[in-house]
Amino acid sequence: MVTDTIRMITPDNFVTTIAGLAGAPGSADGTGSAARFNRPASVAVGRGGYVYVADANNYTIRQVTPAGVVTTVAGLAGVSGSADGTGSAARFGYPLGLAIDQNNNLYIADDLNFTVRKMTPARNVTTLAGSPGAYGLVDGIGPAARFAIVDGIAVDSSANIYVADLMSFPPSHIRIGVPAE
Amino acid sequence: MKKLILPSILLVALSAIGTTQAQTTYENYAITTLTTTTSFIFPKGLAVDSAGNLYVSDLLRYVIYRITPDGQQTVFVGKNGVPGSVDGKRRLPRRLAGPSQLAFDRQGNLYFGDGNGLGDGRPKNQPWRSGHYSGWFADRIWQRRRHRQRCPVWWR
Repeated sequence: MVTDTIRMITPDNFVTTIAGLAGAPGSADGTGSAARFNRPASVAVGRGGYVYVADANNYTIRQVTPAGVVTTVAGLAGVSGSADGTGSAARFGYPLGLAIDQNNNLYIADDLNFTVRKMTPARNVTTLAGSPGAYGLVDGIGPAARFAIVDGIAVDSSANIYVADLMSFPPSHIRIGVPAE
Repeated sequence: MKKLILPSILLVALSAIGTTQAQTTYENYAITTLTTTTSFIFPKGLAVDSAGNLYVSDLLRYVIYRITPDGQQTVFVGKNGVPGSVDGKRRLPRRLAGPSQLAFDRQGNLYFGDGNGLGDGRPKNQPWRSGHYSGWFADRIWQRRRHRQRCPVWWR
């Protein structure tokens, strides 16, 4: 069952729904159950308890404040694409994976673009590696690299990224990204 | 009149496509592929601890692996190919049903989602045998296998 909600388990094992309404997909921003999500694929918790959500079917990145206020921080709901830019000028193909580093930069595995993207705290979205629309399993720098199905993503303290790259048949691979230049 | 309007609409549409053409700004990363002793079937979740170890959950191997910075891969929890839902401390036979996303807290505790969403991955009316997948796309795998057995040879 797909519930389209963001839920939290507190240290005393209490489960609460902090945003979204079960069984009601949508793209509306709002507070708590007034907000809507459509297949939230992954969450990351940033500085100050802000929760970031890769809202895959809306092609957006959402932010949930500790008070439960949901806003769209990047992408435009219902419009997919591969453009880099600031905030709603950026487009996503199908954001599946999300990771956050110590400086509050978000790393986004953008599935249907076959790219890995980055969003700074100023909401500026750039592409780290891969070429939009080009599928493959090729090591290389930036646009020369190719990904198959990027899913899970992690980032370490020196901004290296680790991406789960799925193939339609096993074996799948873990790809490692190191800042070039 | 209609003939005049249509091309102009097309021109407007084409120019709109031109202006919104995808602008890709690269901040280059060098990508390499990790080589491990055991390959992954469905690596779903990734997490890095404070010591730089990489943790990878494999949804269809029912295992969370730990990979040290020098590339040593060990089973962190679970048993490859044996699904289940058994809690326990170290050295006890703990079993996972399909680990997905991973996350660390500040104290270094690892959290993961675990479960097999759709079905138990075996053909109907058959006992479980090793090699039967479970996990959320298990049914899709069996559908494909059954299709291959039943379709004509030229289609395979």
